Amino acid sequence: MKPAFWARRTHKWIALVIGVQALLWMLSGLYMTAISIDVIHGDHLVHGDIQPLSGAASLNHPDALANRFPGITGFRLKRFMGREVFELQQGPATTLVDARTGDPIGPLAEDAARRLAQSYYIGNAPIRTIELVEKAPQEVSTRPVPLWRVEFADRNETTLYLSPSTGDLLAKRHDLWRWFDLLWMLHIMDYDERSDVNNLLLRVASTVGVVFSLTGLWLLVYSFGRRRRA
Amino acid sequence: MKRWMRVLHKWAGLILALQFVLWMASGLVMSVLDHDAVQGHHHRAESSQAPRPWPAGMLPPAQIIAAARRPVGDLQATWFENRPVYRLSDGPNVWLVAAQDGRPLRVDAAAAAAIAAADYVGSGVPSAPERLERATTEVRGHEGEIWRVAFSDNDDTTLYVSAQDGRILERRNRSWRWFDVFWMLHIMDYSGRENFNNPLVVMAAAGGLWIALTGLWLVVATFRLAEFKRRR
Repeated sequence: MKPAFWARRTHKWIALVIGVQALLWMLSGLYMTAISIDVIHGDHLVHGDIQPLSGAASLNHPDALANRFPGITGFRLKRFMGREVFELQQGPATTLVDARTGDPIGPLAEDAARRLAQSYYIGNAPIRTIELVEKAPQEVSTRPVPLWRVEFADRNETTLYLSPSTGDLLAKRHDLWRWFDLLWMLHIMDYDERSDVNNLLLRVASTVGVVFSLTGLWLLVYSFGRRRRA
Repeated sequence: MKRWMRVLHKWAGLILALQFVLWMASGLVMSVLDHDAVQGHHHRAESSQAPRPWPAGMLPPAQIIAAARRPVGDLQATWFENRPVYRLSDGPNVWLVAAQDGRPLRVDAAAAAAIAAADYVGSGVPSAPERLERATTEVRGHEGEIWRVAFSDNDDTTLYVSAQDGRILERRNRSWRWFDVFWMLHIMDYSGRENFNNPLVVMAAAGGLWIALTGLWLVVATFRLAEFKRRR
């Protein structure tokens, strides 16, 4: 038996084991590289620019807020739907209050969440569904609950996730992202969490992949030039 | 058909063979390197800062913003080196002012050393903080000046502290540096090591997909059970 014979045979044997996964690696790799990561992140789906804070003297003094909201450990001043608001931190609890009147806002009710989502969204599709989810769907599994899940009736199935307590836009999801996530799962072979790149299956498969690619390299040596029988 | 598939498979293979080996080998290395080690979690101290009540008598945010003389997009009341401070930002620009008197605060070498030491667990001894005018490869993507603090442990831990607001920007170490080299080879961005949408890797991936498809076709088309049976 000549080496060329063994090169072809081992390459083919290993291909039987790893061929489909190699195809999935290439397919998912091509998708993830060909589509800009900014598109996947969905930056184009929402308004990005925010108006600077006014610094108007009519903003509440934190000392005045401390009387109404005891135990303040920190706060943020930010824009929220056209007005300025304080996001008060009382230990683990967060409360949104109007920066001028000091009146608490929220947690956001459905109509406020609806208006907020529409103010973020760049497209002109109407909202298809809106719901308060208590258990985070897998596509936003790292985000704190509860969450307002707002899905728009566009072709990309754009879905915005809003925090009811702060009004922050916590995640933007759409079909291109969902495909990316699915293909990433196939790429790293973690079918549960889609995040563990150290899983044993991937380690074994990529070891086989290394041997596979080396046998391909080996086979190349015999594949060019004078035709020999393998 | 079979012959043409073989020709197409081997010529594409000739061009991409080395990259194939590199993809597989770098993928293997990245899956073997412990992700927690790469992320620097092993030398990261648990944040022990219990929330403290915000003190009364601080300057109000309205006054701070009015005195900033530049746009402020966001204001946050927080703590820096046991002092109540306001963290102001405008896009990527971030700065700190003392909440007590509104004076701007600088993250000097001593502060950077203290911040790095508080974030670190392990046997390493920190170097004197070194000031970087702009981000190096290890802290790419960050704006402004940066303090670099290297620790003398076995993992070559290096912490990067923002000179703007004292945040820990990155926790680097030997595992991360290896990971980063193989990541570079994997995504074929040899200069920036971060853009996996570059034309080279897209073209290579398209070629790779072509090889995988023709290869799989060949396996099916040339499959003979006898080949895989033991010969007598």
